[in-house]
Amino acid sequence: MKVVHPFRRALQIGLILFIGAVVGLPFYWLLITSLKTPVEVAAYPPTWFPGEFRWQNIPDALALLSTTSIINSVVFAISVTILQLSLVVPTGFALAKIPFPGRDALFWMFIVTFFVPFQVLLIPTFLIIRDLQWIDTWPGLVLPIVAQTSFGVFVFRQFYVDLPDELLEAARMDGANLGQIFLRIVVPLSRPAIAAYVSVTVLTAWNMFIWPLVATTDLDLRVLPIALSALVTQRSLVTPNLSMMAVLLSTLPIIAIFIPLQRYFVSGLVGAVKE
Amino acid sequence: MNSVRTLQVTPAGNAIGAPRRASSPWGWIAIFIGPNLALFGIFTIVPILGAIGLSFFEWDLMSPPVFVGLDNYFAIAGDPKAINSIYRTAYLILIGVVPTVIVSFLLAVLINTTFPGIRVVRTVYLMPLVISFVASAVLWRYIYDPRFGPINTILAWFRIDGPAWLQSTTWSMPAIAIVTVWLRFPLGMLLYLAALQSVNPALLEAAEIDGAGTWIKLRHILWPNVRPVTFLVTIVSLRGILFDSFDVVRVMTDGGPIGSTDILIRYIFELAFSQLRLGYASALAAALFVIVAAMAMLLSPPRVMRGVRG
Repeated sequence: MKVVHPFRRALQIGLILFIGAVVGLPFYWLLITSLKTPVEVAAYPPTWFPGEFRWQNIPDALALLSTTSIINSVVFAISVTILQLSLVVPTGFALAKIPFPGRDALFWMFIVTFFVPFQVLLIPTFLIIRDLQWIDTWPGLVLPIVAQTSFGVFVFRQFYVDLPDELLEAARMDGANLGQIFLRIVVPLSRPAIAAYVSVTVLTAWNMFIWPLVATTDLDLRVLPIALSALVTQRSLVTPNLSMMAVLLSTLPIIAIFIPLQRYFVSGLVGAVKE
Repeated sequence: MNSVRTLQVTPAGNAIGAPRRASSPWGWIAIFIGPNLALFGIFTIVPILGAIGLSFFEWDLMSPPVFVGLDNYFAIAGDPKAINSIYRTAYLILIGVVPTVIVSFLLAVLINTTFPGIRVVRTVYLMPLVISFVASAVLWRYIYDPRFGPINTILAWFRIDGPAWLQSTTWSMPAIAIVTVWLRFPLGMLLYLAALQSVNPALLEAAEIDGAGTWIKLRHILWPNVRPVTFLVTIVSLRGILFDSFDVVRVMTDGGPIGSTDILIRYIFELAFSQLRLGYASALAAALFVIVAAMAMLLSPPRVMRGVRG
């Protein structure tokens, strides 16, 4: 039996709670500031709890962000995730289970480009989109991001390598072709990997900033991070309580998904990086 | 001893179309890989080649491009802003990546325990994972506010006169680094937590019987046993800080004050999209890629390569 010294135990728990408070402080500040009145937010010294809750901040901040940018972010995140998933799952499968000459070279290519910063691709990608006359269009906004498939290819190839060959061989004996094997056996078996990948990709797409900044100027195509960053560059016009409410509202959907699906996020992030 | 697989790549199987079959199923391969490869080619391979090609030209999008050979690369050495941005990038890596690794490790050891309510506390520790870089940059601008922000308010309780964080050339970069550590440590902590599960508890018990204190256990048992993960966390944090710090810097300081947070990625962006010096910006981007590739090669790839050949 391991005996833990009660004092050291209390010290450890105390430290955990203290650091938790430090890590959580910005979120607490976000929450209280977003509900303060314009008068209280300018009070010195700042208050640690709103004297009066101003719920009107919610509709006011929503108006600043505009419903369009909220809808755009949802459409952007969903379309990037679905399109990218439909590319990387079959590629990962083929690279893991169908032998063909050049397969390893192809996989190599995906891995090497994983280390190319997107900022390096930014200028040429912008020129390609411009030549296609896709600036300020949905394909121009979505497709270059969908095309960042190296990470997903890597994740799914690793997942399928561990899939027993016998399973697929048995299906082939029963006369199934590759497409049927893929859709009826492989995809249903991939649910955990897909759930993890989807949660990570939605998160990344929801937060994406630099490409939407370059590819769109039209307010009708603005996504949330762009709308948010605009709030602080015109800071003099927007009071801190409203820009904090805007930050809170744009983060809430992800937090609402994150807390119940924490397990998938964690396995997706850890698993993907670890493999 | 360590069950955590690092960047190891296991060899691929041969379930379908094994060598005994006369023809390879090329049609299926095209269906499975074709669409991905087409998009990947247009938006990744072509831009990589394009960036290299552009770096040999002078071009402002309006007049026709002029071939200048390696001049753009030579120009880097004579551009104080470029030198500054390389130095600032190195500085951010130093004060961003190293603390991320250490904080991740220590916090993983600390919270690797159970008590009533630990799930709630862990969720708080993981929360920075989900907030976007832009949203957190907006938030931290107010956190760092010298008058109305909580940091200087708390420092004032202890009669410390806090700096004007983002308006100070000394404190602006540490301020950015603190935000990146806050954003990045949860992932490292998760990786370390996974690794700690595989450390043999008998080792720790034996050390305790011998009278080893916390420091000895940390330094001589836990740290050496999670070394493969340390390497991994370093790579992940390095990549994260190099790639994603643009969002944070752009919103919080936009490179200022007086260039003190002008990291390479922000400078490239300014050159390309404000000054329209596409060729020179591409040369700097190529230089950035060489730096990243060299660091990645230095740190990881033998494993990756071995695996891919496998």
